[in-house]
Amino acid sequence: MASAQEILSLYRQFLRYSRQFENYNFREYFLRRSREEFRKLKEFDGDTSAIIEKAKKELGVLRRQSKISQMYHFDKLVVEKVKKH
Amino acid sequence: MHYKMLRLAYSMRNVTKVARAVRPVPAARMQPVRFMNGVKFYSSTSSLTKEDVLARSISVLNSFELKVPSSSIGMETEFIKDLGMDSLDYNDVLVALEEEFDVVFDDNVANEIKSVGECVDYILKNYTPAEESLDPEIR
Repeated sequence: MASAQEILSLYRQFLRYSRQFENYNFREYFLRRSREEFRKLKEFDGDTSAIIEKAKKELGVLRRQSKISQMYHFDKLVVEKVKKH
Repeated sequence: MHYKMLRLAYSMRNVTKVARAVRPVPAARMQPVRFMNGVKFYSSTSSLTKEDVLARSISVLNSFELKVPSSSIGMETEFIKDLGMDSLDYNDVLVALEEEFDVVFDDNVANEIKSVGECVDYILKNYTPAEESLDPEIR
């Protein structure tokens, strides 16, 4: 059984890697999916260990894909906020 | 031939002598550069103040759906008690703050954080200005 702390740490990592996607559509999609899934998990009562195990595997995939996404250039979309530096 | 070159060299030496006489090097320029207490003055020190961090944190918080007006947010504001967030919500905020300030909240720190002020303090402690971490030439 995973502790709340462990789940929140996993949640933060999902959000971190999701935010790193260069492509707007992927980025928003994974942020949305991560939030949705963790909300569902919060409501879920029962044994979460299988879900956590699966999430950890998916985190690895997410991490790899976000790194790959950073290797390519994607034009900014009109809906995207450009960072004011 | 050799004689000519020698003469040329000699005359050039004279020219520099004359030039030196006409334009004396200012004494101040000869002073060695003094470093003040090891402070590097080619890069500005961390210009991030507590007020800056708080203001930027509030603007990050504004991008979330808040139940209270952002003007009421201060250092003492607690995520769960005052902003009506749950644990998932405020961890979302933490990651947004990480991106804004280019810091990473340690797992044990993030689990302990309850208020906006604690975030601000952590950011101030762990923030490294871009100018110091990287040579401007390669940036």
